[in-house]
Amino acid sequence: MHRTLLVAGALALVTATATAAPPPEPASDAPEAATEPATPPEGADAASAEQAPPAADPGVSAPPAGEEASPPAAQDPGLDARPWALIISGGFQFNLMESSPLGRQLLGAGYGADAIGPSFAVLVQRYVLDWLVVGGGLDLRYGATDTADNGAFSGSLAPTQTSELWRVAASAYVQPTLCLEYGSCKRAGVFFGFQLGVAAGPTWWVLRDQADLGFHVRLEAALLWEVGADDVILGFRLAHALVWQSGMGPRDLGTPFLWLPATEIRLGYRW
Amino acid sequence: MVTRLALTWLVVAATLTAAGCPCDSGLPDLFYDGLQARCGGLPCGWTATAGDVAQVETFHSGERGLRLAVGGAAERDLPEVSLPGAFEQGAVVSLLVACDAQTALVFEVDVTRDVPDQTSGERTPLTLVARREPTPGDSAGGPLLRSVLVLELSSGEDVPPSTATALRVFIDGPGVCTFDELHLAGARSFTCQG
Repeated sequence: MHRTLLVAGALALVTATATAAPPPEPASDAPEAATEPATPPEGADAASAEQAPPAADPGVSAPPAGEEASPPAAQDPGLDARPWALIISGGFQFNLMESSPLGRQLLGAGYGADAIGPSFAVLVQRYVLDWLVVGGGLDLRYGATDTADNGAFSGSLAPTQTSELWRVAASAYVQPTLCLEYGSCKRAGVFFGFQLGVAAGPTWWVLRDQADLGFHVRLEAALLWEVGADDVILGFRLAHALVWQSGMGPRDLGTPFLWLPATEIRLGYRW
Repeated sequence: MVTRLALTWLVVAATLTAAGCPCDSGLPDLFYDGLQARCGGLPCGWTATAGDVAQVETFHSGERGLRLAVGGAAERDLPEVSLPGAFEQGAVVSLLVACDAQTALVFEVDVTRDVPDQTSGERTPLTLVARREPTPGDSAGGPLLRSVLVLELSSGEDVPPSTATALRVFIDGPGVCTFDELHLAGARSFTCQG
């Protein structure tokens, strides 16, 4: 599964790179101002105004002499006008791997050690540059494994037990974003992003209705594909996280940093 | 016609392959004690006979087992568990265990022969022994790992088919042993050879 996700990510990256059009229009605080005709000097007539040199207004450029000024751009809400987004995200992730003291213990006790489970996140993000998003929020990740498939015994007399891992984390991320459709991403378009994030929070390990409490840290890299139209975003996220888990329970069982993959669907509202 | 016949045989073969494995491949489980229930500081059914014996949390606060230290020994009765003989590869003790270095864990199972002795004509009592030897780097505080220990006669003779009636456990060494999830099982796993 790890390898499949990695290959999928690599293919997606190659695809995105191959199909990427030129980057979105450069950031500017006054794109409309750049296309406005220069203000004629006071007292000059219209004809002389057309040939007059541009007004000495720092930060605002005028069209070169002899070039006809274009009319003001249409009111475009664009990303500049809607820098904020609320994202709700859900998917699946690996919760634990056997290559750790905690995983080996569960495996030894007859549990499966590779716990796959759902994830859910609520995030708020903001464009700080035309190509850069910063965001953060809360996420919940769950994974369970049980002894039902314990192959050590034929007709095992032991009742089936379930081990659950609940992780809640506060997260923050930066996300360089590339518009894959040149010229159309201000209102609607397809975006490709690369996300780097960090998250941390408590972990509950539940077994036989008792919970052991721990702490975890997650460092995450993710690829995103998003389709945005006006105030709605629909996206897909492919992530690979390094997760460290503190010791839990009487034997202080934890994990060193382990690679755990995740996939998510994202739905967002921007304003 | 030939194609249809071949297809029929193919379906039959696939069906037999899928359905022709009615057995599990694990060891047949004969007796299980999760050591969870608490009766006076020990797992229910157990009695401390020597040293330091206590019911403790093992790898999770919801999971309990038995801890033996300082010459600790404990025992419990068994509900007449039939154990296979040597011609069926005998029986094993399977458990989760962690011991300190230089500390062995020993199980003794009291049994009676299922078949009367040829010379005396009696169903004589016997004691089967299973011993977990310490391994370098062991620590009673580490993860509890699954061990499978063969039950043997200390004389080295073949184990006869028998019925187990009681079980004793003690440590041999200076350290501590903790164990959990105790099974008695047949040593021959079923295989799917038809």
